[in-house]
Amino acid sequence: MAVKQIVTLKGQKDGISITLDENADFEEIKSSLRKKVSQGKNFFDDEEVKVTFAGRELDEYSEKILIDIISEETGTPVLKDTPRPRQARSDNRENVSAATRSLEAGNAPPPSAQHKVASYESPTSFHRSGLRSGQRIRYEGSVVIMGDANPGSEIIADGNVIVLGALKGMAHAGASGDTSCFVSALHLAPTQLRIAGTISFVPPGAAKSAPAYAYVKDGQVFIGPL
Amino acid sequence: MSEVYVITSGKGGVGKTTTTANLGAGLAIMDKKVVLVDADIGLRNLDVVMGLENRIVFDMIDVIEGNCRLKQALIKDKRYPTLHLLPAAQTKDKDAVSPEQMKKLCDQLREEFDYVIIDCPAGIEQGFKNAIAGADKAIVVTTPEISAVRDADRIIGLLEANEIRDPLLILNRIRINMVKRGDMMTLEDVTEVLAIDVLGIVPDDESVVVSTNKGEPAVADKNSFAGQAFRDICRRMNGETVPLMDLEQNDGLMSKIKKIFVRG
Repeated sequence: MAVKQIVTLKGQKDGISITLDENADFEEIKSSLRKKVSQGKNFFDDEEVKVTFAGRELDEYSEKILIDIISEETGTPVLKDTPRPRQARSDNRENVSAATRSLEAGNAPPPSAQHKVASYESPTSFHRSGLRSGQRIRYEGSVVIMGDANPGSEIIADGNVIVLGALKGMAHAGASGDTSCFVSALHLAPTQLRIAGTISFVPPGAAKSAPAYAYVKDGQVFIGPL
Repeated sequence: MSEVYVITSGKGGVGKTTTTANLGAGLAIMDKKVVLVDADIGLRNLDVVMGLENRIVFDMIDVIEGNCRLKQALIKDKRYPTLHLLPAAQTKDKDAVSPEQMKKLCDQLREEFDYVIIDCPAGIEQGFKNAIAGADKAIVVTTPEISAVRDADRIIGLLEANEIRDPLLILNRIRINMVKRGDMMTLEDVTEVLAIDVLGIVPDDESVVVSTNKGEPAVADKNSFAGQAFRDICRRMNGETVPLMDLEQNDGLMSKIKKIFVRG
């Protein structure tokens, strides 16, 4: 029986195309990708690399896992190319600061920035303790929680939501419709996440124990590391 | 000096009443003057668990409505001379009492007793509001289940909103074998969410069911592990420093026998 290639890497003009076997188990794909990438490190010797995935439908979390594998193996920042653009580690950092700078005069973000966050300028409400189940905060600006937001709590802000602790409850940023708002937490594991009109949740296992933020792009919620 | 504790949990069936009965008996064994107040009007249980059901003549509502004097309604537990019970009314409901009346009642009891321990009903409605109205301190009972912990978190938030700060936690019905297998939340898992001080942990113990059905608090049973846990908790309430119970010793008969041989 011919061994079917589970993962194929192909260099292209502006990046690398990765073809994944449609029927293989995701764990197989992960290990196979790790092997391929470590064998073909010379593919990735650029400062930054763009990848496209083909052959298989991927949700953003699986995509993120695969991208993380590539950047881990190669030490190269990886950028997910169309159809659903997302950033990798170093790119994000640049992006947030770029977005903060662009607050002042609406500067065009650098070409690599594929979404705009943190553009919401608003009064901010600071809460010096955590939130427990059943506690609810509604504020017409941004909200900063200095502690954990436990399951069953609700934070609803017209601006951004920042939790300096674990976010395990529900958070709604941009509640009056601003899609540029974000939700950020030191441990991002909300029961539900809403940004403007977009509702999503973080599947078990995908919760970030490292500081992360969630933003909305093309009607979908993405999560990036801080 | 006297302290008014409310034993609460939010969720039903986690062991509030059993805990109340055991702490009451445990403190009474230590010669403290204790009164237990059953605030679960309409669904009274504490008298049954204490084995005092057949001695009720007057109840809390009678005291509040002035049908009797406080002393007349208090039932003295013959096994523990310093332990008293103020039973709830069974034929009324939670709305028969107001928080102000409850506060006044607690202040009356405070003058007579070292410890006033209020058994709070499940839920967060009127009964809960009444039960916490007169309390200085709260003990939150939970079991290592996600729903019980969630409700406990809600209760702690409500207690704080009502100026009852720094509630203490009793984690009830831990099964060490399941914890070891990773099938049950650990004390650390629970305190990570609730972030309050731990007053004690109580192992899941059949002897509690047996003693509850007999109307004899497990705390008096020298051979009961749960009873030992409750005795430890009473000593902590009394200001002693007692380390948390080592649940390993509760592993079962075989491991105990093995340990004896290892030691030998």
